[in-house]
Amino acid sequence: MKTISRTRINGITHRNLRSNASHRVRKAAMTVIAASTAAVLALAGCGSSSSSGSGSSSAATTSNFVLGGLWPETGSLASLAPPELAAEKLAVQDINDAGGVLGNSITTVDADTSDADHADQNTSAAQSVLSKNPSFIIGPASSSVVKNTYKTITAQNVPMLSMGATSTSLSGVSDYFFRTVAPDSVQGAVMGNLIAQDGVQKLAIATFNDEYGTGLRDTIVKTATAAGVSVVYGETDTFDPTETNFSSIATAIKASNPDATLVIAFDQTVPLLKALVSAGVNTKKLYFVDGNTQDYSDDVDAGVLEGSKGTIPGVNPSEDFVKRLESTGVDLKNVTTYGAETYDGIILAALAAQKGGSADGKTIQANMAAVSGSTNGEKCDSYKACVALLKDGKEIQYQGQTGIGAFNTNNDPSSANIGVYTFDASNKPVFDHTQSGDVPTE
Amino acid sequence: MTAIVFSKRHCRLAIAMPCVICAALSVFFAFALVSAPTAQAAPSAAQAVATCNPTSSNGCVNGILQDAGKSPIAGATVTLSGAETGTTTTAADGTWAFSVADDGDYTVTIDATVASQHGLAASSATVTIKKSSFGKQRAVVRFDQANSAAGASSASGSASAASGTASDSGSTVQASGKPSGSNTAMRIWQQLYSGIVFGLMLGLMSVGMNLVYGTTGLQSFSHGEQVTLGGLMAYVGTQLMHMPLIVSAVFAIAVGALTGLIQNQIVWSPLRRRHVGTMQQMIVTIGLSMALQYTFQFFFGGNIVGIVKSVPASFQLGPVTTNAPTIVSALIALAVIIAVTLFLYKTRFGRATRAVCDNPALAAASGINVDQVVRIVWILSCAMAALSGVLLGIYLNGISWNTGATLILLMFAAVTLGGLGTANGALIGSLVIGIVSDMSSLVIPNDMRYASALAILIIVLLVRPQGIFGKQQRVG
Repeated sequence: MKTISRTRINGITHRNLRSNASHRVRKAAMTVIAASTAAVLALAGCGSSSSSGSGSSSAATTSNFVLGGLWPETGSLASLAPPELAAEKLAVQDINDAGGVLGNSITTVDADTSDADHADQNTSAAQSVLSKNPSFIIGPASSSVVKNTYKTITAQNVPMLSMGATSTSLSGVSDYFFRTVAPDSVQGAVMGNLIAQDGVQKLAIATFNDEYGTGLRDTIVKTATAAGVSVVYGETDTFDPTETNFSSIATAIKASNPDATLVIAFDQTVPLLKALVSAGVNTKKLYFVDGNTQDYSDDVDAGVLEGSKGTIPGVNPSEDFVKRLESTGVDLKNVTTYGAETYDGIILAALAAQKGGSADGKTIQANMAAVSGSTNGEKCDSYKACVALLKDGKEIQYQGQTGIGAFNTNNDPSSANIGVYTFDASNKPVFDHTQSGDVPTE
Repeated sequence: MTAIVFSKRHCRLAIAMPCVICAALSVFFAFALVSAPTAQAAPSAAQAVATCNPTSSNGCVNGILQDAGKSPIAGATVTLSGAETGTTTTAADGTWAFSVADDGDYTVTIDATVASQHGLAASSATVTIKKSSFGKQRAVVRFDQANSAAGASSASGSASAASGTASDSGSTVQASGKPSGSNTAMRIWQQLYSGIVFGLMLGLMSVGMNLVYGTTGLQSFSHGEQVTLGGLMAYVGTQLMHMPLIVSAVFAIAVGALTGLIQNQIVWSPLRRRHVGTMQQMIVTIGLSMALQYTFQFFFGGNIVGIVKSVPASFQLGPVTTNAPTIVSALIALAVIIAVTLFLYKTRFGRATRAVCDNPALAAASGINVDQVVRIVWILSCAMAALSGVLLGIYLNGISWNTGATLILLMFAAVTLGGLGTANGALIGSLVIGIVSDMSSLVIPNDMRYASALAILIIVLLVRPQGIFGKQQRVG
């Protein structure tokens, strides 16, 4: 600013007429530079949350709710896509059956993000959904993929909600980023205590080298060692997410002579399991996390995992809800992980739009916390019931499938549930109990 | 849904009757306890229960009493004091649990004579319960820390840094494993063995790829997908068509050989006839590789699929643990590589192949049907890739759409290391890559082990640019 005014003074006092024309040109150039800098800053998300967000397509009031979906239909998380897609179908169906949002049926636009190893596809999927001017984006599920995409999305003032990104470092990254799943810090604490109370003295850990894997491992190690468990392998060792040859890892785990083994991985788990069996590791004393607590009855012989345990954030979806997911025609392949989280995320966004009276990103963002219960409104457990209350002008508190509390200041659920599962003789995880508690905000 | 309703109902009940659920549980499990829980009616009484899970209305102080050898100590008295008090005795498996309603500090004490008798480090520990916090709603108290020096205060506890060294030593008890020295020796042998097995399978792929390079000068980037195809076809045979493994393997090899024939007829032969440069052909193989990868993913999904479901019983063979399929796979790979080598050196057609490798123009001039040789080499190479895919799928316990893509760089490394265009070189190069990558995890982090193999490649090439078995070539 200072430079500009000095130039002006110089121009007028010393150069008179001749310089006036050139000065005007220079001024115009300055304006262009300033404007484009502002635009760049806004695009990069450097502006504060209260910035006007000029140029954003979603700023205008609208009553057409366009739901964007980013799903891991391919890649290492592909097994999580069916329940999420089924939940999306079901949520859209429930919302439209109840009269839609602001009187209009909602529409969807979907894209496949693949996994974090395909970073180019992460961003191109986000761009392709953004190009359709979505009101709200559900997904992606993986923390790493969220990290690759959230800046692009939130800079456009489009709220996004992840149903499965549990990385602790995502707490409060943006006012426009929400999640219906608890961060890893809470799952890790439950798992650490679970391992300790089972009497494990020597724990081996097989973790893949990914933000999710190492973050969760660190929390579990902290809790378990505090309660007297020794980590004999894997406190720092990891394996590559694209690893296919697990024999040396299995050998190292066997050589460390553990009482129990914690496995933190996605679909790498199956070959790793078989490698552990061949190496002679006790697979009836394994611990799994949300990324791999699933049905292994088609993958390994009956009885191999009997007695092993796993934790999954969120409640065990009720049979009724699973039946409704199946009724959408999507083949769930026995996986229901993040189905409830996806469903609740979509319903919450639709309710936020309904409450705010507009289906644009800013309105949805501003009302997400309120409909989730931060204003202690009247409880309601379906979109239909909640909309009826909203139409009566009441504050609401949506009580969905996940049983989470209202969004806190980090846009994390303020309270959450961690389900503990035990594997039966057919290698299926059977729900044991739920632990619920508050999600820390610091 | 049910869980939410459950917890709501629970909250309401909690006003009238604290811990009704836990009380019910304790009645249900009462037979499991050595003595009945102390059922005190005083408000500050903690409920002694068989198992305790924290809810919104109760926290848990629980643990398992065992000695350093993991033998449970049954019938010992555990006393709880602090915000609430209670007494219980450990069950037959050593477990004990208190369900407490109030947040606050609790001290758990066991009989000091029991502690000293079983060599436990401490006989009391203080923990903090906060029902709303995941980290503090359940406090696990253990007195059997593996390193005897650290106290049993579960708040800070033993630093994990110390625990690694104390895993075997220091404990007075029977069940501790072998001394760590033999563990390292065991790992060395085991990883050498798995390196050799992996190297042989890599060799099977690389030999085929090297033959194609030798006869046509083409570096085939889609060779990895031929491997994947073999594994996936075996999966189709065993899991979808429910054929026996041997039949499925033959089926996979036949499909592999057929694709070799088809792609030579449709793609490579016309390209050669039009004198398209090897560089351009190589770009075609890269494109083919990607197209095939995503075709596989379309049909088989992104998951790892298993050719065989069961994991065979493993047995001890000298210093290594192995199982029958692994040994058989390694032997098949070795036998096929030897057979191909004999074929190249002892048969008429093999000599013709080597002649084409050395100088295609001269071979053609001397009456060798070069096109016929190249066709057979493509079929052979793809059939070997399919076989290696089957063996690899069994050995690595699964195959996925991108398994081949992750191996292609290792194949190139093996071929380059051994010497481009030489059959034996590919085998030796593969063995070096396999052994070095598997054994390097003894000293470097496991996820960096392939880097070590590629580092060896660079070093060898600096010393011997033509590879171990490659012929020196005049440049210019």
